[in-house]
Amino acid sequence: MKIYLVLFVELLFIGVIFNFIIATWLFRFKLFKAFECLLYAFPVALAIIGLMLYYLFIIAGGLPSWVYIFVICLFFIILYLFSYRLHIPLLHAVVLSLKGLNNKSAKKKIFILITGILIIWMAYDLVRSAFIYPLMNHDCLEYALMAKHYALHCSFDFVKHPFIESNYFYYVGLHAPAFPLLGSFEQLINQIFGIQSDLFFRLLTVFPGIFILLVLAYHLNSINPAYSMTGICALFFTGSFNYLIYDYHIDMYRISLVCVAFICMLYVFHLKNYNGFLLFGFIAGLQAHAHTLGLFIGLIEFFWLILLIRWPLRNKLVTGIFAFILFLAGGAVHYIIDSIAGTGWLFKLI
Amino acid sequence: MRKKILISGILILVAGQYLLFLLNYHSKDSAVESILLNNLALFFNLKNSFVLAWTLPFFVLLTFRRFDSVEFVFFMVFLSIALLVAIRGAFNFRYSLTILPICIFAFFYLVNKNLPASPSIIFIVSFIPLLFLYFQMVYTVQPDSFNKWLSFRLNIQRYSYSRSFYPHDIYLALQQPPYSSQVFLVNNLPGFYYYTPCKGYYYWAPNDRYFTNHGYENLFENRTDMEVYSVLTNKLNCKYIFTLHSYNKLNTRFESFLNKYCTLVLTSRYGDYEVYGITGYRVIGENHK
Repeated sequence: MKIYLVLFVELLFIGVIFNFIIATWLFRFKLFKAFECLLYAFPVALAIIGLMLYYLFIIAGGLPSWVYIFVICLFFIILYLFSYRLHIPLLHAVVLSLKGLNNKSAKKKIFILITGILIIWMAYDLVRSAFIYPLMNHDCLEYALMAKHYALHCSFDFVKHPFIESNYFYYVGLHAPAFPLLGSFEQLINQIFGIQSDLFFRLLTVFPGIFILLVLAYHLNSINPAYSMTGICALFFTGSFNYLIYDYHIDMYRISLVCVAFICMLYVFHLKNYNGFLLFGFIAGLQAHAHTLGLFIGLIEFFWLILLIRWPLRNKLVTGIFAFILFLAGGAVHYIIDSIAGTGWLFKLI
Repeated sequence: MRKKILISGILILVAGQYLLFLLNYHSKDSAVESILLNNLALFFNLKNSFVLAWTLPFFVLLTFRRFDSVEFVFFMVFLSIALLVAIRGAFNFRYSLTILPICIFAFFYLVNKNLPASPSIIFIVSFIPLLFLYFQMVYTVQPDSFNKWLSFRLNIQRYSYSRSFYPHDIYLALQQPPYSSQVFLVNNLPGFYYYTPCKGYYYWAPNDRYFTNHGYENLFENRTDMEVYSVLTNKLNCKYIFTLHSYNKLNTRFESFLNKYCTLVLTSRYGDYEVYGITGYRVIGENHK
């Protein structure tokens, strides 16, 4: 019972409170529509928690567990203090956009309803599955092991050979530790409450997966609600995607960040928003922090954005440099440090 | 004229889809097929792609001259990522899934851009992918029923990853003496570390590497079986080997060592997990390579 209560509090904080705070910050940038801010805030909030733990474990490792949770909560409180004036406008804009559904034809409303029912059914089955089945996937077990290791020592070290003395496990992964650190977040809370659980870590496959379905449904709905229904069925029932959304893995989390970064890039290009470019840099960094493929995708997005966006060259370069700094700060810097002082990253012969 | 174009379009679609099914389920393993199914999995591998993703290049060719700047960026980034995955990510099916949501969006976007938004077109575009998807799923789950048109058995549990491989019985056994205090050689099974308190050196049979705090070393290469026995028991202090039966066959020397110099002490009812004791009864007096 205690496990479920702690999980409920974790989901309430991350899924609702932190999500809403990040949504108001996304709203500030005047890049996304109001409902989109609420939607995209979820993976961004998760990624920011992983990033914060990453820097805290490197800079101030070895402290008691509650210190890190306290610092993360404090960070979000500070974010809230700088954005609380936008809460009402954001909620107002979301309500207005939802009221806009009333203007759609009956046929479109039916398709929107069917899509909604499908997503709820898929979400229910996924969550039910996550509560029943333990971690089994090879890669996810390795991430979970490292999550426990980081949380036990409350530190992250760049080492050439990530060998754990307590059980002789050797971690062969080369991606940045965003995903394992989200597991560490759960383990830190477990230590505070004296419980053993990996339910939150398992749900890190489910909720980003549901997010991806929602994002696809939302954007296809803008073309035609019927396509929205077909699109989410096509995505959910594609063999490998179905396998990965049910079987715990990093992919749903990293794909959710790829989607947010891709959409952010398109909005920046369309609106020619300077602050939006900086936001894109940071989100691309979060994408890179999740997976090596995210790093290369981020670089591709940067390349095309800087090449094609119609700004004066000076503005392009200056904004691009600052955005790139944010890209590094958002997590891409891990690969540089790891290449030089850590495992060697892709240069390591495994 | 419009009806003729529509009918021809549907016929081409059905023919193309049939060829795609043949490629996926009756492949002859040629180099071209390998490239299509691995490097270009996003478009042609039905397990990893949207069922009509193969039509995307045709729609792009039809439309690219009418792209505005945002659409141009969209497709340049999309194609760049697809190229990256095709060149560097073909070894792992999961990488092509990275842009699957974007691919599905791109398909419907281009269809909407190229075809008139009449109710019949919308109905066809919504219905046909679902139909092909249904047949694909039925065929994936039950290949023999592909030709059965009225197959209503859509079992999501069978379609999803099978959950029968969690060996909780063996993990429970390993938590008890004598196993809990012993050192194992673990053949690429991280569940061992996660679900048991035991210690184990990480090993991967196909590339014959075991990992220590100094990095990796080969186990069987340039060593006789007696030397391997000595490394395991004296250097690494391993008493047991934890492996998966299907993994053993990936290294013939490893499998041979297990059969000759180890004793099977535990098996799981779930999956094919095995624990071997390194007994080495037959090692004395022998010198095999």
